[in-house]
Amino acid sequence: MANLNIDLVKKNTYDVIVIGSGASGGWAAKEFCDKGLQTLVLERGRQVRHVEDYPTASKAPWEFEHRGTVSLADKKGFSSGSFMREETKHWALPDDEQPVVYEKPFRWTRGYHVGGKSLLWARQTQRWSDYDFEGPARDGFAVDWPIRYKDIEPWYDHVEKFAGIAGFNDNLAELPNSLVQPGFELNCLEQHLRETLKKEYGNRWVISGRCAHLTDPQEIHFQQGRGRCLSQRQCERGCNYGAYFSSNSSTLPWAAKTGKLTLRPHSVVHSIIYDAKKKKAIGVNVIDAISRDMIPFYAKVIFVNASTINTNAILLNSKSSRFPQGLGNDTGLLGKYIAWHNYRGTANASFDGFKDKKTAGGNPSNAYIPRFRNVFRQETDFLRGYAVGVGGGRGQFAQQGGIGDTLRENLLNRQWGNWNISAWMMGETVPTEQNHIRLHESLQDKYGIPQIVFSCDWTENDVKMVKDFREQMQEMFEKAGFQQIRTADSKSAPGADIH
Amino acid sequence: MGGVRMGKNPSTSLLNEWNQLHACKNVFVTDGACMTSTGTQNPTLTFMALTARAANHAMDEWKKLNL
Repeated sequence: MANLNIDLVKKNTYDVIVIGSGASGGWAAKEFCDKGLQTLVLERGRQVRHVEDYPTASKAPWEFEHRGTVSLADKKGFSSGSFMREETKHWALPDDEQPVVYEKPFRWTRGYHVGGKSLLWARQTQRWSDYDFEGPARDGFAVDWPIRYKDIEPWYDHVEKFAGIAGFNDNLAELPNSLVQPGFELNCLEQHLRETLKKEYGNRWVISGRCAHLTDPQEIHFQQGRGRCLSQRQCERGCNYGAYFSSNSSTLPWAAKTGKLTLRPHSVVHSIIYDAKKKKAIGVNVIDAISRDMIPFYAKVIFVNASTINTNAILLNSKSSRFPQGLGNDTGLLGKYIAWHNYRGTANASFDGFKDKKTAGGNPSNAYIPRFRNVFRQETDFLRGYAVGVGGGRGQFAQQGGIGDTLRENLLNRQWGNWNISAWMMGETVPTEQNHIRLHESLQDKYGIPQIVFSCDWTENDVKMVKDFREQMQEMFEKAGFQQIRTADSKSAPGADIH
Repeated sequence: MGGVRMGKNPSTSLLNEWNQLHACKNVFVTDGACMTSTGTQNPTLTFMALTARAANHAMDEWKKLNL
């Protein structure tokens, strides 16, 4: 029997284990496989093969049974509205997969399939600057980052070359240049806002949001089997062209080609195994989601890329005599200082002009205003600031009246409407010790893993920031000559940003 | 983001500058959990860059047999 066990341990031993197959897990797999290390990637959800597992990617609107709407019967068992369209229902997560306890309201977006949220993300890729890395030290919250921009700069280059980023060199201190392919141009209304803000403020820049789309694929991208973006704007279904970066289109197939990758779907990680004698982690306990067997896997190095909340939960559940509060948690700080992005503020307006202009094709990115509040010095009664996403456009409409030939004529004779513009805030929240997640003392999920308790709430700083966003957008839209300006605070629960 | 934040001091943070757990150096956290603060940018590019950086550091340490 002892020999059998040794064989099993040998069979289940790799150089590296990566927990999670999303954007960061995929990158870990690529880097290790490129250097010839045997790498096991564990994914709790199902397999998603690039192209063949995007069932709706090339469907026309009339090919959906209910034109996109999901029937009430099919919504049963899904309390979250996320991805509840016929186009994207294959990404939705049934409630019973992982019940959680919301001590305070939270909106947790999960991507439980190979590729994780790299198939669900907004694909926006602005770099950080030292105004971000130095924030906690300058403003006296959290702890100082142990790295600065110069430490990560070569790695931004490394990732951007391989992933492919569309954008422009904007030459801004607060948003370092990326290695870019041609960006998606602003339309005339966004350009008008850009010129207005440049003239009126001199420190507020409307730029084309940099995004992980190929607009001019290079040899390194053809080697990945990826092609140019066709601006179809159906990214959330999965992209058959591999035009936007996902683990599925890029890092995972690349890693697989080396022959060093083992990808194991349906592998729910229970905990990391710590060996007190060796004073290191030696492996991972996995529950097979289909057989429900607990299977240990072993490696010299373990990368935890399970997504923010699950990474916290796995470490909290990795208890040993050395680490009774969870792996690495000597201080009791694990799971605390959770923060997110504040997307509560929105602004909308219309513009009575540019009647001679219209848009053609879609923009898979959007216009973007980098943070302009408290960048170079503290200037408001709240800490930090917000970036703003902006999208302008001109829709078409058809008269719906009449019957018979009149109705037909009306429907075919589509008219151009007014130009409209919308803006949404992306605010930095300041981490606090009270905002935390922890494991429930008795409740478990169907795998026997403790349920996660969410205890995260807005702070006064966030509320002040939303108010400032609304005031500033009102002012900026007025200066641009927009009409029907409306700003709002959705007061949504934290977590809507999916990060 | 956060919960397993990076920092210089093991008494106030969980991860060091290479995303290694201070108290268990062969475990790396390089997704959103490592974020000390959130910035305003969509963070995925930064997670990916931190991951590539940490993975290459792990392989350097491996050669030196520090892991």
